[in-house]
Amino acid sequence: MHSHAQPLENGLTILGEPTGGRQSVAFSLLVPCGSTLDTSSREGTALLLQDYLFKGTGNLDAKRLAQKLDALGLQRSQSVDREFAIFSGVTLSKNLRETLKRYAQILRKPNFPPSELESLRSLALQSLDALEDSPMGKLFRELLRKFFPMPLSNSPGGTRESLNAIQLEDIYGQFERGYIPQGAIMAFAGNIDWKDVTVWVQEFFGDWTGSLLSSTSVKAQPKSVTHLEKDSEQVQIGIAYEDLTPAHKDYLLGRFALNVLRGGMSSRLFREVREKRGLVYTVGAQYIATKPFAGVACYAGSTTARAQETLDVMLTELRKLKDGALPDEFARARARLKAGLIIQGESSIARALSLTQDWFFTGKIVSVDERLKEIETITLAEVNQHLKRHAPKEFTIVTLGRNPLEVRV
Amino acid sequence: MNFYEQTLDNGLRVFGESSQTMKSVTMGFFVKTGSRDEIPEINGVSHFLEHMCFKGSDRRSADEIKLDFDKMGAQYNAFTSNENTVYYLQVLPEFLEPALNLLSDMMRPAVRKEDFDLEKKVILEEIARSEDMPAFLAYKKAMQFYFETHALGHLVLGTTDSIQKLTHEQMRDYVQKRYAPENMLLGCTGNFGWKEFLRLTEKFCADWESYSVEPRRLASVEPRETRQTFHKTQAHREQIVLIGPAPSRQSSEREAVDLLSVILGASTNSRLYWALIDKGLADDAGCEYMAFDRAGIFYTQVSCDPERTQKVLEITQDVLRKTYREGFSAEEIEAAKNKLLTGIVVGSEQSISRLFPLGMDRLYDLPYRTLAEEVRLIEQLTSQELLALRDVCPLDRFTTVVLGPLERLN
Repeated sequence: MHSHAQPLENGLTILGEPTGGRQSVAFSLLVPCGSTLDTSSREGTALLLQDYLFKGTGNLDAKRLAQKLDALGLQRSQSVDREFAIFSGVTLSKNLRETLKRYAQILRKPNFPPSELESLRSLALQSLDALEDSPMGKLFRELLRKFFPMPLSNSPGGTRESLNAIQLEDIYGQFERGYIPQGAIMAFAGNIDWKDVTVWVQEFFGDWTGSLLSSTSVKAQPKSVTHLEKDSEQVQIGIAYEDLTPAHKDYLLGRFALNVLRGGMSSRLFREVREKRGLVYTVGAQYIATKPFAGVACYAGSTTARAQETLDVMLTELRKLKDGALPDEFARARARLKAGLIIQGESSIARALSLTQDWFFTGKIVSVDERLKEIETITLAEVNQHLKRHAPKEFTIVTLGRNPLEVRV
Repeated sequence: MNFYEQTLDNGLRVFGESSQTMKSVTMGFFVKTGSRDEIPEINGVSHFLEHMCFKGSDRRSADEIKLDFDKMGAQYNAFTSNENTVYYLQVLPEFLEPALNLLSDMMRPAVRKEDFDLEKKVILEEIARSEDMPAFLAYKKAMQFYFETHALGHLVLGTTDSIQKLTHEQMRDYVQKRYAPENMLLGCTGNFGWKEFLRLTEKFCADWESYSVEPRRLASVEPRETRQTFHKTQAHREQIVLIGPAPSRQSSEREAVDLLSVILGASTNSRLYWALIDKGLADDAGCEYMAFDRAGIFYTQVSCDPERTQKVLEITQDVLRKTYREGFSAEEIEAAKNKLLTGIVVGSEQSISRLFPLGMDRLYDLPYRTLAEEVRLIEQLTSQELLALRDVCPLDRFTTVVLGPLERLN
């Protein structure tokens, strides 16, 4: 397996990883139009804009466009993050050229039919309401809102007020600013011919122009504890703390540390909160990253009477991290990181997304073999030194439920 | 890809599909038991037992099981449905033996009282969690309402009451009755050798005692045309569920119903999508074909603003009822087929996504089909096959459940 990277003159980068024995090909297209491009009173524009792109291009209306994409056997998805919008899909390799041609039309020449704005707005508002019926989804939004520096703290979904304020001009303006080749990334994995792919991307995106006007400067938020009242059976608990960004040279040490905290079922949070005490069904922790700022978000859901104990145990475990990992824990973290990486290689779409993220965050791509070697060379002493230096000390905490909880030191 | 199948002397069925191009191997035990096989007094025991299999055997403690999984860097989990309980793990090929050693040991759980009492709390948390999710609540209510007293209406998680009353003796008795080799299936997919896998299966499972299991009771289901509204003040969205009859797992029409569910309810470019989501009337709308042992349902769920419920319900019913009258265009069928086919091809490239469909087919005694045969079956479908579903999947009368902030519907 060999990975390729080719930057084009207009700022777009093409990445590829051909894999034998596959019929499918996966792609991921990243454009620098994330929610940080939303102006302060128009949060949610990037997300609304992404859906708007599929409402028609050229002589194709929304329905004809959807039919064309389905005729290609395309399994597609899309999302908006803080720093980018991403479009991904899987199809059979014989359909790749046609798929790229369609996406060039969608990303470069959308019609934005004015009559569609209200239904899109209505959907965005409904998604906000739907979040109220998804306790963990709501917890995450609120936790990241408090945790990320501004304006990364803005939720891509926007607010009721900001969604209602969005006008067509906002859509046009953001499209001009964010749907540009500079900083855009197109990654391909699976049954691809690298040469063909570069020719096709050149053909459909080579004359694309536009560049970023400015980069975002961020402003940190103080650590806080917030309770949001909700009449629910369980209290949702979210705890976030800072971690190294993906571009940091010690980034991988952080992945080891997170595995010790919440990798498999033998990891600390799972064992202490669920296995030993039966306090929860769900307890987890995940790494969340942007270019300038990254962290770990831990979460759990526990019925009202047991939530305080859950929070206490979680905080105790987090504070214990500074004392380091045991040799067995380190070995298990290494085994999980290695296996996870190799197994991920079976999925073309996972590889395409991974290449995209590598490039976006670090400006280089790392093949599975190279990454495996890096994992092999890391020692327990390095992980423990990292934990000593970077173990979480300060936390942003959000709870959602009937009663507020006490943060005990 | 090569397919193999064999039955051990004690009745355990074993299958494998090996593919040397894959980087991993996935194996799983499929146990033919679920909430349908429970009596109301022990409702939820199948799912609770799934948790207890991770809590230790005579040879391993709860901690040792988790440590053994994580030492291999395995990805692992389990799930329970109305009719089956499935345990699986995905590992690198070099761990074939320790993986099977561990997974087979888990199938002979100790069900120790102290572990049982502790895990009961986790199950009660899982039920509490589901109470906070209106979309899931609506599904639960609708299934109970459609199946009424039929065993398919039993809740997979059980109820707070049934779980609280459940004893570890009752669970031990249930394992004894249901986890017989003849009621189980072991499958393996990905990068492994069949001979070696079979040898290991003999090594770890051949001494399991053979005995017979009481056959599943297969009472017929009487579909009902009724409507029920559940007032949930804490909810923000209104959930609408419509259930009608559909062919069973064993039916030869099931690929056609799969195609029908894509045409009507796929997340993009389906009839419900254009009627509801594209117009901004609902934020979620989808259809699912759920096939069971000698029974099946066509399931539709929509989420909308409470004040739009009446209108959205009418549109949803209208879309479904017009299905056969409107017929199917060639373009629509082609698009739906392509969606299914890409899914099959992509799924065939990963050991983990290959295991489940193969295992499910074996559980219902369906013949093995190669990937090419699966593809052909979908490709051959025409509007005739879809129109012929009218009798078995009529889409004209439904059990309807509406759950959300709305107090009542006109």
